[in-house]
Amino acid sequence: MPPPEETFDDRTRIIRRDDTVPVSVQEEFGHYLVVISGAGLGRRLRLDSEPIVIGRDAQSGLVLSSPDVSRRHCRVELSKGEVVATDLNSTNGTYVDGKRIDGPTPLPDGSILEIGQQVVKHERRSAREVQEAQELDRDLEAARNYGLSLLPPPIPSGPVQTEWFILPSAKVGGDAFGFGELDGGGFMIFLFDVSGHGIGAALLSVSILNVLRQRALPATDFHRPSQVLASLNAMFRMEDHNEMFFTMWYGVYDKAKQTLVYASAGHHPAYLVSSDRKTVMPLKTEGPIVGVLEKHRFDEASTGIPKGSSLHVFSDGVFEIEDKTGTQLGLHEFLPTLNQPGVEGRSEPQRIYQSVRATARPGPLDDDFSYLVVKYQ
Amino acid sequence: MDIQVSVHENLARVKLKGRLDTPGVDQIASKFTSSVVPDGKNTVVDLSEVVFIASMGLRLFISIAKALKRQNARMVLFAPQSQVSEVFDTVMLRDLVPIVADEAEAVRFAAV
Repeated sequence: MPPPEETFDDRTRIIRRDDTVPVSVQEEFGHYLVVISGAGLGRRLRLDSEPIVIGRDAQSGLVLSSPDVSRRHCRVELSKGEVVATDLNSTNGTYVDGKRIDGPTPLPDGSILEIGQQVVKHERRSAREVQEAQELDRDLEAARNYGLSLLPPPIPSGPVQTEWFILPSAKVGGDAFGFGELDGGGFMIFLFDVSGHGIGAALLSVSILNVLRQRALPATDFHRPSQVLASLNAMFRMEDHNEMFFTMWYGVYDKAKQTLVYASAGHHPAYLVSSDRKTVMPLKTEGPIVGVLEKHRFDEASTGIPKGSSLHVFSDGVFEIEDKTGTQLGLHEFLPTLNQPGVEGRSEPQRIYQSVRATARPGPLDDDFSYLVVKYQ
Repeated sequence: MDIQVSVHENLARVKLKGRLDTPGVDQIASKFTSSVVPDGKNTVVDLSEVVFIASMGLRLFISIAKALKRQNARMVLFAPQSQVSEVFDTVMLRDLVPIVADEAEAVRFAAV
């Protein structure tokens, strides 16, 4: 037997709302310090009436266990409704939005506090937002940690040394890099930048990184940059990867011959910096973005590597920034940074990051910041 | 980010103004794509007032150019500022999308 047809009253039904129930509740907002890079990554601490001391000391309110952090590094407190940071005579200094502070300094909502390699962000959030953010943060932190775990540790000594610094503009990013010995000799170095930011770019980034880590490109000699880029171009067609593509720089250093063979795909040059930092040589070949043009051939080139020189490979988020006046800066404005002297207690990528931060407008950078330095001793 | 679209017969003229970064692309992508792709219109894009382009802007151009090509239509970019033009050179966008100096040349290219 068919079910009876439903019948509806044609008149609009009047619904009486219980006005004793508040439509919205005034939410309580608080100030939070969130570690977004370095030791203590992902920690979120609410700032109340008591100041928070940040340092290596176990008694600190926010403990950052890193050798570049002083025992009592800096203090953050609420003062007249404003969050203020004060350096506590730390060895490496405290930076707010890229500028070293020498007295109580306001830390506005969204601003960045840097303590050695550690980056802490000030966020003003409601309790509900914090709860939602914490749930999302846990997932994103797991994704981020996985991505970071795929990056090789720096090499602090030996004939080829490496240093790096990476800071995604979102919780996770599309930049990645790698380096390491190849079978049969040769030291591989690469960096790539997936279009866009966030979780979509990060997923593709992890796929590419795993392919390169496992040397899992068919019929490809990893000593030949042109072959590697051509194989990646065939494997990662943008039509098959949610319209995403990536730029890349790839090189192989021959220790015996002290030469570097390299190729680039839609990526700006890497730079070879002389030991006295007076000479900066661009290393780039012509090649399109990976994943866009079908069956494209990539060129490669080579150069000698003088002892004491260093190779700088980085993403465009390093130089495509707006300065404090809102002026868009580019590669030309950035390059003189490479000639500047090193800073005691800071790696070269950290020095570069501090320099960029000091130039850029306050707040997080617009794009992922990835910087790899290879030193040839 | 601003976008103006005018369509005359089978030619769409698109004028963009502002920063083609992720927020900028979010503001205009839907209108840009829906104005030219469904009907496969030849399209010329005025970039004279675009001051910055990031990877998401490149992705937008590449996706639209490929979609139009599948329909035997063509997109031509014209009058990019020097900083934007440098980005196009770095990524070799010219191999996929013609980039010319002015609108008259762009219209000629689009009609070829």
